Amino acid sequence: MMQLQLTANERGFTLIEVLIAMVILTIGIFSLFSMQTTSTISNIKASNITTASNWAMDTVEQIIAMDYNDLEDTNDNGFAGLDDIALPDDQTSSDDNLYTLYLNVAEDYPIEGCKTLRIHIQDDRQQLKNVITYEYIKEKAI
Amino acid sequence: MFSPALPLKNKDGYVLVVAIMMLLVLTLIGILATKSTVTELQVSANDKVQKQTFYHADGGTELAQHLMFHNAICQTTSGGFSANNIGTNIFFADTSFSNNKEANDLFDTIEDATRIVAFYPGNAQDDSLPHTNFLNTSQVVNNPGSGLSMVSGYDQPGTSSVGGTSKAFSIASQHIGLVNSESVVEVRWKVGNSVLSSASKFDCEY
Repeated sequence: MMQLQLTANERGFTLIEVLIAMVILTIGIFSLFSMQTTSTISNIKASNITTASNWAMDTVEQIIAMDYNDLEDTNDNGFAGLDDIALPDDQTSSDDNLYTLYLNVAEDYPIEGCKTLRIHIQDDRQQLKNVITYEYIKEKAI
Repeated sequence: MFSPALPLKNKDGYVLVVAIMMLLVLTLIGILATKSTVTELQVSANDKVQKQTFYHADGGTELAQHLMFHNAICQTTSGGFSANNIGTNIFFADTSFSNNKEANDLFDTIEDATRIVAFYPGNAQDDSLPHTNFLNTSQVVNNPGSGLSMVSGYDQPGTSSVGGTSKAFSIASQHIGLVNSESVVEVRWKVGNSVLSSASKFDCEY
């Protein structure tokens, strides 16, 4: 008696039912997949911002320790050339070749006896829209 | 006969329900991932802005020291700076600011309204743009050992008449940067009064 009832209840799914479910699941999984991809890319971007700003910070700290006369505006373009990364005063690539650092110096800016230094970090894989820029002013020791 | 209880007993179509339930779980995971990503981005962006603002303020102390020294020279020779501006970037509320003695706690009092010097990194003197404010106090202090050498009357070998006083400055530099970020750096700095008093009128450049 029991066995009979059980077999009577075991009915399969209809083909239509399974197909609709599969289609909905597939569409959903695809959109969720792109959601995960986006969040991975954004996480990489956040990591890049942190790396670049830490490198810029490290460079500023080294500049603080450097001699005033060692910081030269080699191409002599002053304040106007502070943001010029096509023609920087100094340029370094990171060890992993993923970032480039540009240093621009403006001598006697904002006033005579002070130098304005601008450090730009560019992400060479172009994942960051903007270069990260730090600025510091160094004064001739009195 | 149709009865309201009948649809609940009908188990047809539960594959669809299971599929939607699975999607719901996956969506929740996806939303959590996106939320944490947004937080990560905000953390790194804020960290970047904070460092930028801090180094602007820190570089400001260097500029402030330079201004302070030259103002002190001009103070002894020509009563302060001659104009309220140096170039178009640096504005003074007080041309003899190296004698300022008001504020006790520079850290808490520095703001746009109380500043003594303002520096605008661009060319526009606009307080809604990033700018640096300076505030200072100065105090005359005895140089270490000078009091003793005066009292002893130069009778010991190695004592000299060189003693005297210095001017001790406290300089606070506040930078108001992007997205209303703000950073204050305070430095203490001392310059011998003998240096200042030996300056001539021609040492005052501003």
